[in-house]
Amino acid sequence: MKRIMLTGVIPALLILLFAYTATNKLAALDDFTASMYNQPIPHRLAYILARAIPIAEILAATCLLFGKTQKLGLYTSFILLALFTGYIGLILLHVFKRIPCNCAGIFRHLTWQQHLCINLLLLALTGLALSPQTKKHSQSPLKQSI
Amino acid sequence: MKKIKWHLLVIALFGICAGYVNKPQKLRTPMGQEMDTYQYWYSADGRMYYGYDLSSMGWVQGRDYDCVYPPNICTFIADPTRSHSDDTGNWFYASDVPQSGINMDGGFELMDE
Repeated sequence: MKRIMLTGVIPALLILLFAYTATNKLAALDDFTASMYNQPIPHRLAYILARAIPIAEILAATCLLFGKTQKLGLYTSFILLALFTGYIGLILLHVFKRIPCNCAGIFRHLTWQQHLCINLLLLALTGLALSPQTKKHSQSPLKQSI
Repeated sequence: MKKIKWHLLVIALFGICAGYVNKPQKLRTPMGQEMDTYQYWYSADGRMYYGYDLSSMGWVQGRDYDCVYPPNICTFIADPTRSHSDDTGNWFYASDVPQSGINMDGGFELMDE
């Protein structure tokens, strides 16, 4: 049961998340770009990130779809989630001079604190799926015996 | 072709459809036209600029201006060579309108850029 949860449900959850967020951003790219301009980062970087983030999310979701690239997809997801979580952490620690609006993500109506909780949960689940213990469990008995 | 996990593909397609259906919607006038306005723009001296339907004035979105909602946060991409008028009839340039954000207490703070 635990093995199914880790090897099946977590990639599915991440695919759903990234497919949703990437489409949501690309379908209203102008809005997302404008939202990125509201973040405390240089405008040129905001413009680049507004394109790079959905592309990275699509890449992560695509990697998760295939058996052979699923591990790569999990690592990409972990890195993306860690970056998002780190950014939220910096905001909440008042590293930037102001608290930007949280209008750039999918959870527009949540506070930054709620964002952080969700991201930490997803990050922990992805980390769990990548843990060596899970890798050992997900190997087939045949492969182990070889 | 690498072996694809079909159940995950179905989930991905579901996510794509949900993401598209729930894309952010622009505000529209009662006539159905897209409307972009200045909303709650605060300058350094506390003046507020709001209330213009820029689309109907023939300004080009993305070149002359851009706006994002929620309305108390606005991004303004303006042609710096053009002057703009606020609701009181005063003219100002884009450089006169610093960007602002909401702090933890709901108050406005000026951007550092």
